[in-house]
Amino acid sequence: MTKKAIFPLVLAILLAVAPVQTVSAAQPSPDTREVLHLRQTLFTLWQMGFSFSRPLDAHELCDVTLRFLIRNQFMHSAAFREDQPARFANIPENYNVFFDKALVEQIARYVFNGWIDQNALCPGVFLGASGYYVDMERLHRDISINDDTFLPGYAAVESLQQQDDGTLIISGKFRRFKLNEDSGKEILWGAAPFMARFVREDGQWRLVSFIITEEAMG
Amino acid sequence: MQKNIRRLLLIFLLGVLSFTPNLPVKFCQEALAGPMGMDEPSPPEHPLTLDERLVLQNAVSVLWQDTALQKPEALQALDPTALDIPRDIFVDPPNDFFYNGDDIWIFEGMVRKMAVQSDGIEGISKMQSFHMQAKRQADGTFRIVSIHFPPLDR
Repeated sequence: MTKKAIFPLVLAILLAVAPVQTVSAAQPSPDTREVLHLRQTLFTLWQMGFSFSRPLDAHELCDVTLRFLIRNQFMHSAAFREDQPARFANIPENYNVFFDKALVEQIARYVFNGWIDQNALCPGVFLGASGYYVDMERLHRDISINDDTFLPGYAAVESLQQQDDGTLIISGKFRRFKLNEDSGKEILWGAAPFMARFVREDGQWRLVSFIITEEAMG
Repeated sequence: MQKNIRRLLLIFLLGVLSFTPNLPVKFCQEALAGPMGMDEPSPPEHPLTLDERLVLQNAVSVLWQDTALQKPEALQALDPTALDIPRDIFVDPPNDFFYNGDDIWIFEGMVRKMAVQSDGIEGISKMQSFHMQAKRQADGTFRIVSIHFPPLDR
């Protein structure tokens, strides 16, 4: 008798909850962790001076993906030859840093909207069984790092809007600061308003467009 | 007489210390070995991810502005992933994390607040160093054990 009473009740609850779950699963809004991650992605692109002015060819995609990784999360995700010699056994000496294959390809896909072509890797990069080995000296040779790169800065998110189709539009302003020797204060040294659009795919946000909306300062 | 004995004892002790091999080196090594002056613990099985670092950085920005949240009982109940993101406060540089054993990370750096100055120019209106300890729980979430904002030297 009790079982008979409970079954319709459980069924009714499931029917009532199911459609709500479907809708929210299709278009969940980003949580704090996701917004922080997207903000950091955009700030790194600004630091790199990257713009989506034209589609990337295979070499460029490989190159820009690894540069992004090095700048954005080098210390979090790189493995070094001196720390893990076993991983580097039989790998030429000049390749001294390793990145997990899935991580590199995830960044190529979700930040730069492309697929790494394993037959068209950039110079200084070697693909092993589980990931990419990087000749840092070779890659660094081509990276232009100016003094501004290391100045303190941040991306202020001023607006975060989710469209009906689930697209996420983030706008705000990048800023970096430099110490003024005369006043002893850190003053604005560079700024750029930005707007970016993301879509959610396979549970992750993929960057669709990223533009600097006004002439950048600094 | 007693004074002379004390002096002799002191000279003897200094002599022993001076001729103990590698003692000054040991002192220096201990002073240089990590933020707590101890030997560096083994790396954790699960190092911090980028997202975990970003969440902890954001927690510093929030806590800096809210002294009530800095109290131990408030920290105990704090979920760093559920905090708002302050708009013009930021932590830099972002990579000063040290693993301190027992799933505790020490995070040190500088937190800044941007504001428009009286002359209309944007700049850093306030900055402070911080020292935070965060512990990873069994379920993978983080609890902030302590946070301090020591005064700046400059």
